[in-house]
Amino acid sequence: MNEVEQAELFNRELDALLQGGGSPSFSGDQGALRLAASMAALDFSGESRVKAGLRARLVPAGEGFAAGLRALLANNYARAAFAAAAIAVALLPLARRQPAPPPAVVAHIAAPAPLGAAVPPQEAMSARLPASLRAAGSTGPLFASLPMGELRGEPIKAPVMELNSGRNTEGQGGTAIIFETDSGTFALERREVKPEQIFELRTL
Amino acid sequence: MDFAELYDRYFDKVYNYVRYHVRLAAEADDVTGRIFEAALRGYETYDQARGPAQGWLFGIARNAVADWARGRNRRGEVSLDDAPEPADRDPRPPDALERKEERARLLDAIAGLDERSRDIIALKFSSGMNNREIAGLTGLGESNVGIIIFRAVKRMQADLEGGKI
Repeated sequence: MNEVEQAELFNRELDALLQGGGSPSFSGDQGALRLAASMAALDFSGESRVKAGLRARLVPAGEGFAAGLRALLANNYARAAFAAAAIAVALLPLARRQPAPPPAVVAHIAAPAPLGAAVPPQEAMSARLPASLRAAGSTGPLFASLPMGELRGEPIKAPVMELNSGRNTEGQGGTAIIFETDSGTFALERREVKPEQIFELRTL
Repeated sequence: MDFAELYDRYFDKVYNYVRYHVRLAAEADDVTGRIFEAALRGYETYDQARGPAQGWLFGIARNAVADWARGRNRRGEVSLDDAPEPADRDPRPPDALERKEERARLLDAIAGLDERSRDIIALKFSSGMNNREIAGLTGLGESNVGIIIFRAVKRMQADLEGGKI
């Protein structure tokens, strides 16, 4: 008997064993079938610690979703409302594409005055408003640019920092200028530095 | 069949299938939980006309076990499957301990199989599917499945009788 025939015989007897059809004849390899019988008797399910808890968590979720969906679709009113909502959602992009007409106020906004122009009097600004807004006592158009006065630079009235003295110095491989003021002493250095003088090195 | 019925009918089989691959009970619980969570997510879209629920569920189980194995390899974890069981202080009667030792020896023998053989053996002895159904699930030929099962059992027999385990 070649291996294929042995395998066929073994599988026939194994299927009979697994189907619980009484004791197999063991006409083939008895040792292998005894081992198969031992494996067929293996059941680890008693070692599971989640069986009950998992069922309690999953089964209501499954039933809740399925039952809710079924109940929703069984109700005619709910079905009609669901269909209307779906149509509304489908048409929403079309409604958004319609361009809205510009508001009347925006159409009458005057061009902004150039920089440095003189500020016009209040009456002149009111005259440029639409008639509807003037009647309502509005003081000005919304989002209109207001003319500004001329920008002028003003000199600094007092020095921010007064230099008392300064000197050049050499040291640590470079030169520096030392500034001494009332607020403190500052050094402007020019020298080569190594990375560890700039960054703190830490060893993990 | 609703989800509760599916769970009650197949939990033990799925758990046993997982244990053939995942030695530790706690990890097997975790993988089994993920299998049924995935089954719950897909149950509404599962079409019973396409085949029995058993094949569908064990398809999910095979993927979950493969994911678990990939994750373990990626993390480079040392397999606890190879670690000896802790000293047993179980106060149960001696025959129960013997059964436990016997189960551990069988799992050791199964762990010695290559991945494909172990999966076929797990499906054969835990799922209740016949060779044709296993062939449909794995994409192998029916006769090929039969030969793999035969060779795997012979290999385990040799390991157990030869004192390797």
